Amino acid sequence: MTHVSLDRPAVNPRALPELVVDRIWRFFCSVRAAIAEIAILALLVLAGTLRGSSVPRTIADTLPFATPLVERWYAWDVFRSLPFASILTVLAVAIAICTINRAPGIWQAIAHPTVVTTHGFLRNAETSATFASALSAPELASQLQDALRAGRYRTIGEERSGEVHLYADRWRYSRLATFPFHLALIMILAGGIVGAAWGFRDNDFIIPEGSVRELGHGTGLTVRLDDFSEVYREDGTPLVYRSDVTIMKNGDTVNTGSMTVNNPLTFGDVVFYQSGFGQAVALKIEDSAGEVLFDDALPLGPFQSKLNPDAPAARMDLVPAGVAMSIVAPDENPANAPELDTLRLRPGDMFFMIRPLGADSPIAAPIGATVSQGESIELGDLSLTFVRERRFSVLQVARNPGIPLFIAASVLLVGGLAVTFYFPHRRIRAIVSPTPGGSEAQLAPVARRDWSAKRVFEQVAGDVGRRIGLESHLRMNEPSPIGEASYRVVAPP
Amino acid sequence: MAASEPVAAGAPSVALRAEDASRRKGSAVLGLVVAAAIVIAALALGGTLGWESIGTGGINQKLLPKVGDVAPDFETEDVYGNPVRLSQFRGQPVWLMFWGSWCPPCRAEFPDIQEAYRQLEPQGVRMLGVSLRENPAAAAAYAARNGATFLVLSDPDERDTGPAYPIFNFPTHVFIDRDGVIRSIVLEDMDTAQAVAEASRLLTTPSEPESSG
Amino acid sequence: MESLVRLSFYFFAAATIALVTSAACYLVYAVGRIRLRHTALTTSAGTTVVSHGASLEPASLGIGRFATLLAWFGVAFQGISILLRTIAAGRLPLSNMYEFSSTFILLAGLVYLVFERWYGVRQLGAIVLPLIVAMATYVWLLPSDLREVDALIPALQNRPLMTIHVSMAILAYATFAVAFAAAVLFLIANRWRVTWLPGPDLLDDLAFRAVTIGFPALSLVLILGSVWAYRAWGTYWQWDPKETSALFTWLIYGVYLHTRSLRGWRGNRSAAILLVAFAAVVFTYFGNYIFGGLHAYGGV
Repeated sequence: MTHVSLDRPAVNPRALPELVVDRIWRFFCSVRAAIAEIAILALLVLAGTLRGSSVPRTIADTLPFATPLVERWYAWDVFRSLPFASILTVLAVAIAICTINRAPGIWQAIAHPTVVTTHGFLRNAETSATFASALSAPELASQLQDALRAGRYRTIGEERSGEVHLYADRWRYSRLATFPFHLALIMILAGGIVGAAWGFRDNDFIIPEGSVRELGHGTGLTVRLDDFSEVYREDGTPLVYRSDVTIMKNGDTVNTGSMTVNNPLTFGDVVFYQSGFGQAVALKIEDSAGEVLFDDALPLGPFQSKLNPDAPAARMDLVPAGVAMSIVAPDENPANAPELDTLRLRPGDMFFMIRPLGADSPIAAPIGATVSQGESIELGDLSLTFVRERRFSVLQVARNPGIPLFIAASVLLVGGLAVTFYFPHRRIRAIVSPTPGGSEAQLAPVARRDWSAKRVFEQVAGDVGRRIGLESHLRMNEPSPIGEASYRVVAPP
Repeated sequence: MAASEPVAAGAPSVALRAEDASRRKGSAVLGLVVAAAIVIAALALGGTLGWESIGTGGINQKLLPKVGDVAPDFETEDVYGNPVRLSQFRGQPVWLMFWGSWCPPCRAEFPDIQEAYRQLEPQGVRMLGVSLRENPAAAAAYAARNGATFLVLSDPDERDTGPAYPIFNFPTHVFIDRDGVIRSIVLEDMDTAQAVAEASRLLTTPSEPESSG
Repeated sequence: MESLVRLSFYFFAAATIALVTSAACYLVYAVGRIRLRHTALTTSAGTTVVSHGASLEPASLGIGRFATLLAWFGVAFQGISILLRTIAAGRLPLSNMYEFSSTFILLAGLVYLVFERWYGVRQLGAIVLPLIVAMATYVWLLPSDLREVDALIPALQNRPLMTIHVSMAILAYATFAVAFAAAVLFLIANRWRVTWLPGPDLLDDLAFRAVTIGFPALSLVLILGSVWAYRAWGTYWQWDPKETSALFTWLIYGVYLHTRSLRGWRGNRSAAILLVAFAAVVFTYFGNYIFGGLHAYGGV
């Protein structure tokens, strides 16, 4: 609870570089600056959050003059922006420096607390307890120490001009819990950086059923989708989306397995997630010499054909043949915008079209034809077989070496918080002074404006009284008015 | 969740407890009366605001017949307009499929399904593919182009099959044994091996239900 | 199963009645008795002037005790309601806004009653119970098909993670509601010095205690949400609006805790931060209405 002094630096004139370094250090040490940084971060997070909502639109609708501002807001990807990264960096440095800076004070409070207190502190305490005894001051002090120790308090006594000053505390090491907590925050940020720098993430790793795809990213892995199933409940709600895959390295099968939403498949440090699915078409294309140019399945979906914009479609470049091929499937919902559908395909048919690609393309103009499942056709020089319709699965693949850091940080974070909050450092100060009839001990907690700590102290005082066989006289001062100004938490001299 | 060091019961709390104890008996009687009053009032409130109407939706919805039940009969037409009853196949294992040529997963599995039926037909399995939500001509044309050998039925507006077999997934496969008992329901598209495995159970297993869901 | 769902709804109705009555009793108890005075004065000119005045007096303890009793009934009925629904669904009811808010009502009531016993303070109920009643009203106004037990979609089929992640969120929101109520009552008690309200430092401490439960709970929500996101999507942070608004809330409570422990802020300023923080909680809770994003399956 020691307050970091923000007083002016020492009077000695110092060299400029030293002053600058000192200033920067002070800036990062400052609790006030740290709070301001958290507040700025919170505002940026709020701006980024609202950007993903309907709020900016509503603002633009009600305040038309703010429209340009709102447009810029929508355009600004807060969480990937420089100001956001900067404030995170500043905050991480501040957390590190602030915490390091507090370490000596915290260690001092744990290992070498100030024992000597003042009568003024005890008199003005919001709650205090007094014991009168016929024993001498050192004897009463020693009894008090035993009683406090029995209540699991650590006690330290010091004699000062005939009086005995006592200091007692409990759960002093909980002050250290702030370090794992703040270390955890830095570790989480570090985990994010590690993951971004040394990991990879592929959001659209698309494999049609029966096809093999290369994963890339330096893994040397290829993946075959053996089966994709979407299982439903009888009311039509989805139950399971599952992909069964075979993972291969250099042509050898190294793993087979399946993944569903929430149950990824892990191979080494690479993790495969079920993400989506769709409709694909299996094709075989040969050139006039009988050489196979393509024998695989092509996913339909991301491409829109002008011939029927709301139908599943695909496009690929056949560079050796000098043509680009587009494929259009039947409309999934013929009732939707039928005027755009220029093809009117029957179910089970696909429309295939080739266009010239490059300067020396063998064809001059597009050639198109409708083909039924299982049929072959000649398109220009090419022979094309529409083998069958298939499904494809969309996987996400990721390698994230930051995860262990994140997990460790999570444990530190929650543990640190729990210790800080549920085992708070409780402190009691006391002076045992000689009186004409023997001695008197006055105890008070270090608990300004801390209702719980005061109640805990009152209970402890009662226990101590019972143990030493004396009646405790509790005294409570009305707490000073609260709320108008903050006061500084300063340890008594 | 409680802090390990509970707040010492302060003066007000102690007072509350002491005073509570002294009137415990009166409170108990009052409490019972109040609880009863609330329960009766809730009857009125819950009753007027929907108590009766809930509880049948979501997971409690009853849709398809259960595995182990006798498959409900229906009469519909094949794509040429000839009447067909499900019960006329009693005595043979039946693979009943609900599909539509407009449904991409149904089309994607179609070659596999046809291949499975080609293997199963010699063993006595009868397959009925009921096309829903499309006109009979479209279903017949698609089935013919893709070499379907199973019996293609058509119930465009689900008037004949809908009451007993409300379908929300395409395709839906129902496997019925010789005694007309449903042995399994598959609510996904299948490949050949899976379809053969499901249908083969109609041939090998004795005709008694495994479970009545 | 159908009858369990129906019975659960019936007990929710009973809980609503108990909580509404309890809220009314708490309000009467906290506001006190209003005494009207009529004083007739005869002036020297012979006319009679009647002056009216009102003053507040503490309410009888009986009504406060009755309020607490009703709140316990409300919590008990709501507990039975949740229990029946849990049995009917085979999982804790946490998957749509009807279920989530029903569980919030239970936990907020329970957390409040625990604090009432810890601190021996009843007046806080005059703010917490109306909040709970507002939530119950919201549940009643939700589309009635949400009252049915629905099967889970694949993205939500992770029982242990979903149960802990979501129930921790509800616990955090419930304790933050209690902290908010303490902050409001603090501002009232500190401004007008109503003698029968609890002391400002008690309320300040109560709010802090509530945050010391809510803040770790919210931290767990963020962490478990990240772990779940990693299991489901391969990344532990997606900058999804629901995530970032929870992070925003977490940061505000972080500011509250740091200003309190490192700069010794108490009282008005701390209470003001708690009001802002609770606004963030409400925003996060109902955010599904204005965001799309990955948490959009809340069934709103």
